[in-house]
Amino acid sequence: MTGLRVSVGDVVDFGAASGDRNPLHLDREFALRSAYGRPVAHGALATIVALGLAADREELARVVELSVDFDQPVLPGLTYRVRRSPRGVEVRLGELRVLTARWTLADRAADTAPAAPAARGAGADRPGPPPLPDGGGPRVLGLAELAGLVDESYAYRVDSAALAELLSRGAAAGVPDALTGPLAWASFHTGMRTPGRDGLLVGIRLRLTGARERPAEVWSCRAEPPLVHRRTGMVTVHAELDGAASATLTLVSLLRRQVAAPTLVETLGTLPRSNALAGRTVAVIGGGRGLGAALSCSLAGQGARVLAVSSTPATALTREASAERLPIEPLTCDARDPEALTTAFSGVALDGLVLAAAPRILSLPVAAATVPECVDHVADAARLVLAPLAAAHELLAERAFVVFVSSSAVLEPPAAWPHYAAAKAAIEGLAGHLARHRPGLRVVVARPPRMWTEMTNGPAGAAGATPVGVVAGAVVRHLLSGPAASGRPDVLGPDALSGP
Amino acid sequence: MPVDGTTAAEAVLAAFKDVTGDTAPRGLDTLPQDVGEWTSLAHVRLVHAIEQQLGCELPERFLAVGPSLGELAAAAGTGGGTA
Repeated sequence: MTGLRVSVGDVVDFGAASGDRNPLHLDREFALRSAYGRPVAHGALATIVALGLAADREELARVVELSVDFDQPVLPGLTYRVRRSPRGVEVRLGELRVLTARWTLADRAADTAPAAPAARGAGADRPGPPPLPDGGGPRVLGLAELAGLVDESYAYRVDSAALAELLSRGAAAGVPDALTGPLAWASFHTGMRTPGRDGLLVGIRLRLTGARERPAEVWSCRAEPPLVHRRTGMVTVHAELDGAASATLTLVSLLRRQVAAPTLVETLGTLPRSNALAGRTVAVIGGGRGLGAALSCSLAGQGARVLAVSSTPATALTREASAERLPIEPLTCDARDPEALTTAFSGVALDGLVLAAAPRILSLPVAAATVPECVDHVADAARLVLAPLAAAHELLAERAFVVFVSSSAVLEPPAAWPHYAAAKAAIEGLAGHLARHRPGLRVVVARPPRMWTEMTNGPAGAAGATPVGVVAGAVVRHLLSGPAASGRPDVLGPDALSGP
Repeated sequence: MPVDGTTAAEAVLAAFKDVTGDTAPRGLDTLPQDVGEWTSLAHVRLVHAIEQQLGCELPERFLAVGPSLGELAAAAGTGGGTA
């Protein structure tokens, strides 16, 4: 058993060497808005390092077929277990499988290098296709645009020297160019071309049809038009490469859907517009996006003045508030910082506080390698509730309400989310504490069902998810009509929040 | 076009093995909680593979993790809605 660990620097270097500069790997601000909440490593980088750690140079020189499946992202800074199997290698985080690579070996190394026909591309006498224009970012394509693509041919350049230097740092120097080149290209083509910026590489099928003694820097590639499965967002690309080897590849990727910003209209079916909260002021922490934005719209739809606090400017919410003439005041402020919040709330009497901010949810099974991450998650989640509560504590009116956004995961925690279940349980503990020690306050714990937000923008997308507007409407409807303060939190379960 | 129930069951089991790398431990009774590798991504790949192989379109609710392999096979066996 060996440990695999890539650093942020490794990811940057692989991006430069492979040309895969997809912002999910390299742009912290972009990645922050993804379901992962941080940059993730290139799957191809993790694969190459895992191969180098698990197999020797002679064995890898005999690989004629390689099949790689990606189940989970590889996060820089975490240590993963690399486990050898008879025909490949597995990478796991605790018991959670992260990637699997299976190979077929030729009987002898010489069998991988048949007399190369070199009938096409960089190895042929005639020139290969031209390179792509330099300097472009990743393509941003939707399903319809992907379905309309035609085949494309271009010369792909990989910085072999930089890649070799990077791999030698990770003790993966024995992986031959005939494998690193196609894997780097798979990363480049998926992350920069097809699907481009919003693609996630989930599978590679590589078949080497002949190794050659050639410079490994330039590969001639021809990619067929992608096969697009509209309902799932799966994109399949068949391609041929010619360079340090001849290879055929099938790349399977998933197009991440863009989550639409919630609107007032979404909540109206659950809760018609009124002036029931006119004259009240409510602060919504995490109010710029997702459920928080929907709660901001829903509360403002009842006439409340809403202070929508978010860590980055809430552009879509600001647009919605303007279009619908909603009394929402977006506040850009770090909800982890009680002093900044105290300043932001200065001179305001609050009739309500909604605690909807939470950290991104990664899959982190119980394992030695994940302990720091899990503890950090629980602490961060608690801070995102405690800091606003501390800042607002003295400002809350005697009969104000406080809503704690928890989750149905408290009742049925997913296997790889122990940190999330612990964090939500801690938050519910805080709700109980507040209800007991501020008995005049009306404390509500909301446990929504699965929703489709930037934070939960997983492969299933909107399928089976309750719209955030429906959940927000149900929470606010409860605030308008539910029981008075009782010294205990009102708990709204997933059934109560799933709409009529 | 609806497909034969046996064909659908075989196709679903084969697709499961292809996606997860393992045989379904409880056959068609296998549920997501029985298999650690049956993640939301694996489920989407499974639905994709089933629809591609059988030329059917499963109802929207089957895109989310939850149903057993048998339920997927039953839906695929009736054509899932459209062919």
